[in-house]
Amino acid sequence: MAAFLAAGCTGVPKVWDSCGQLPSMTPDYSNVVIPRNIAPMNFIIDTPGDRFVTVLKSDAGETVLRGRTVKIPMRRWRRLLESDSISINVFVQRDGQWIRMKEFSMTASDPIDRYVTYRLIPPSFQQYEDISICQRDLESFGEKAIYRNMAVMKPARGQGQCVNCHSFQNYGTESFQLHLRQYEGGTVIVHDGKVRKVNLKRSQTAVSTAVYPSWHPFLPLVAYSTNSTVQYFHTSHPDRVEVFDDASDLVLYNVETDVLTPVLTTPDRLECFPSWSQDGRTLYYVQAVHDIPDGEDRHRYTLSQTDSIRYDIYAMPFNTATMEWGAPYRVFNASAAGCSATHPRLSPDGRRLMFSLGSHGIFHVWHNDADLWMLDMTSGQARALDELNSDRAESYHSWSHDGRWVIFGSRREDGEYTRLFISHLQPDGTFSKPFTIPQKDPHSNSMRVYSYNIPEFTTERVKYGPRRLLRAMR
Amino acid sequence: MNVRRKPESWAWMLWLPLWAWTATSWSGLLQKAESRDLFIWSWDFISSRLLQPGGLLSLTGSFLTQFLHIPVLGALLLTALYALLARMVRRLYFKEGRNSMFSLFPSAFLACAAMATGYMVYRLKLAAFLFVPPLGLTVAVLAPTLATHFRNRSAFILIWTATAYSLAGFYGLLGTLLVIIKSDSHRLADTAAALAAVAAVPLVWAQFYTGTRTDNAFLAMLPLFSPEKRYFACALPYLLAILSLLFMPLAARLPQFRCNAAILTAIAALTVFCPSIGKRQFRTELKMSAAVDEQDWEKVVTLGDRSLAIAARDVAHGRRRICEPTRLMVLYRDLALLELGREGTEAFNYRRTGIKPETAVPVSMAVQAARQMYFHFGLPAYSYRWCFETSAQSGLSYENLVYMSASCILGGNEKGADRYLTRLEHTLFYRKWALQQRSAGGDGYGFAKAMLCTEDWLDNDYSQLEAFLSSYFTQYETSCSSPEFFRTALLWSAQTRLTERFFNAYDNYVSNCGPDGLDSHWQQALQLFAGITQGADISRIPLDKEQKQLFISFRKFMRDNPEPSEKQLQKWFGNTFYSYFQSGQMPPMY
Repeated sequence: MAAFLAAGCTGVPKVWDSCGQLPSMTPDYSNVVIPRNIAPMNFIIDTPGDRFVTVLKSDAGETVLRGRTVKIPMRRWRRLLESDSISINVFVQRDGQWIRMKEFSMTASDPIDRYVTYRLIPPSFQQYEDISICQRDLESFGEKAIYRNMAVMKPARGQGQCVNCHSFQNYGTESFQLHLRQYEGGTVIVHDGKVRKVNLKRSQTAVSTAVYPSWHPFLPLVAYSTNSTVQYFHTSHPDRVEVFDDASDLVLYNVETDVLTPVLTTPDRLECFPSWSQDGRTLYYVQAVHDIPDGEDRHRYTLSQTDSIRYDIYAMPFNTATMEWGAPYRVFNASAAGCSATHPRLSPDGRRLMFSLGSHGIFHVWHNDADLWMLDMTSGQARALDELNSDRAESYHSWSHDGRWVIFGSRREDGEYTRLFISHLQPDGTFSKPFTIPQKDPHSNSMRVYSYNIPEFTTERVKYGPRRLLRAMR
Repeated sequence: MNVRRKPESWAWMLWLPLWAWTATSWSGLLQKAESRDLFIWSWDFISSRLLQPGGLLSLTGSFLTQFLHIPVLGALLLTALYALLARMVRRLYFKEGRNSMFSLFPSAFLACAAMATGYMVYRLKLAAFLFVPPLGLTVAVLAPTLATHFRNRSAFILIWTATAYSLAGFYGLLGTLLVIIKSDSHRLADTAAALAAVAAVPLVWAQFYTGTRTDNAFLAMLPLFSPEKRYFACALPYLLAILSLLFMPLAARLPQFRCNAAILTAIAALTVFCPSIGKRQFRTELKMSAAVDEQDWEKVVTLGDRSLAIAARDVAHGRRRICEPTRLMVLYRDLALLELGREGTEAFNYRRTGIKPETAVPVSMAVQAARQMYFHFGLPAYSYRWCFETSAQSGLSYENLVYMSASCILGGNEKGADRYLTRLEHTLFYRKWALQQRSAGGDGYGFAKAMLCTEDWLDNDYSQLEAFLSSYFTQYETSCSSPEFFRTALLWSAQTRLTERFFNAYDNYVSNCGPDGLDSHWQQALQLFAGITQGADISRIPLDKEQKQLFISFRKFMRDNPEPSEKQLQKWFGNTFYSYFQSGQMPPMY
């Protein structure tokens, strides 16, 4: 039994027993590497007990908090973060006896891009109503809607509107876009101080209107895929849903000239998820072979083949001066290993290519076996990011502008709702233990019945809100 | 009792039958309104509601709606609210007592609106739609009452509009208009202040609250209907309730006629009770839905039998218009019979096909019942999906939370259920159920569990609930070996009237459950389909003597009556598979 002499009236227990176990907590913030500018990492102590005291300590000071829900005041948190490491001791009282749980730490590291933009959507399947694109300030708990479909649509009249696919140019917010579907549909493009809504369903987009976007880092160009997407439902498989394309191509849109040009429209290939390198000279994408026999209905045939449609990662050089494309080449042969790769995202320094890998298909958010992988562009070695993955779907990852942090979506908590996790790229090329973005009320993640989609870092705030965007569009 | 001196005595007498009628005949609607709403005792939930204009009204409405879980209690609260509104209107406009029966009309129209809801109950997006309007009108009537205590009328109007709109939405604006209409002085400054406030306050709110269109900001907390003819009957009573309040000062000035009170009271009563006409089967359908949720299968069967009996009686009396159960009611009854193990003796009778609901409002059986039917038929993934589809349209609700958590548990995802059970644990009437589910692990859903298949099919129901279930049970190959599954497949196959499907299902059934003790309907179906097939040999199948005799009688009947009338079939072969088969009615798809 260890005796502890506490100072004055802090409320820290003076006498306690040691316990070699970490406290059970939600979210799990034990021994994580955190950005130096992150909002307070509030959490809930799940370890059974009657009373709780949490002591947070760093070289810059100490904070003592009581109660099961640990909400760290902002000012005290900022002070703690002046140091490189915060140690946390949780005391739990049971039957009059205090127990000190095993100490854990939060290590402060590089600052992170201040904002992350994501779509908030109930994880419904076909129906939708309240969807918003929100920007979260990671230095505080501020979450602001950039666009919300409820501000436009008329639900009572059955005039719904889906919102998706926000994309920013080079981590800034001067140029960005998002799609609106159905009621007052179109692609909203913000560029050069102007907001306009364009129709990207044109003769060059035979398959569909433009879908998944990627802004070129410095040219007024957006690469899109066009997708004929279909959705079916499992009767008992835990994946619940299978979303697949029975046709997809790549196109390039010039936001200044309003010209849309086809890039890859091979009929027996499915091309998707374009993503520019940071130098703007290479477009990464995924491609699957999809040769439909003559006489077969495209849709029916694709449905019968969903288990065997597998995407590889390709790259296509792009001359930024002449705007000409080079010959595409395969970067990662996932299909040879019986796997399917999606969402290739090159790190800003060009050294690492992160992607999502599953057993088949394209829409890995619905595949529990989907994991994050990384390809070392220098050595050509690929590995599963076991330190980030779980037994649920991991998908849609984004790099911070300096490549130090990555954010990704994961359904690890309950397999139903996507939550965002942040991890730090360590000097040795591994990633730190991922943690979910902190909330003012740590209960809100478990109470919120929305999924977070498509997290994208930006270094600055979006200057538009829903009404301003609507007014500007009109 | 001198009616002229105390006319309000009549009014108080009306509330009792209204309460009784609502609590009994309309208990299904009350329970449906409750199950489609939600009130959670958590700051997260409360604060999210308060962030919208009219949030406090919505919250209060949902708080009261939870008591509809016990229809008698909920009806009492609702009736009390109607009575309170009438009383407040009377005290405000009819102090002298003359024509005070007009004060009944706002409440009467709201009660009418409630009973006229019909199938809009599945489409209305207004939370707590039964309580919000009477609460809202009560708030509106409060405005002119309070205004009399303020000397500076303009200041009161501005403060009232800003505050009341935030708390009660449209009804706050209505209150402002009532202040001006009621006012004796009609000062220009007051009128200008009122109009400016009514115009400006919602627009200011709309800059900060993006959950609605700017034009809809003026209509916050009103039930919104698409401007189409088919919704007119549902929207009209709400409109009349509001208009009646606006024209109340005029009503107060009308001369008093003899028997005025009696006439007005009769009109008010008729207004309330008229929407109930022709909705008998709808009310029964709602009660069956509630009974399915409670897993009170005997009650489901009893209600279903009663509905079928009404149709049978109409056929027997040769009535031109037959009051038929809906197709969903038939499926509910089938489900209940399967749960009770009596489908083989009671499922089939002449009028068991059912009809599409008789309503102009678009109705989808999937929206009504997919979560229930898929769950109990062993497809928790589809049940879960439909909970989400309906939640996306109409918001999270008790019924969806219950089925989402139960589906997760049945599907083996306890962690997934946790989120929903946690919410239900913070409710008044579902807390106990949620706590039980954590330890029960799916116990209590024996039939649904027995129906689970390990095979997976990638498919889509295209929002056609019955067509999908029919395909699933009659065409999919499965290794599921529970007797419950084979009984269910047999019932669905027999319904198709297709020989091959029936024999496939029968072979599977017999292989797993044995040929002995075959229920009466299956003996009937066997003989009938064997007769059609001609090649089928059923001589070794043990059939009851009376069933053999019945089949012989049926064959003779058909020879003598090649085109039998409904009345004849109903009379001689009413509760048999033969009458169902012969009716040839196809189930409606909706």
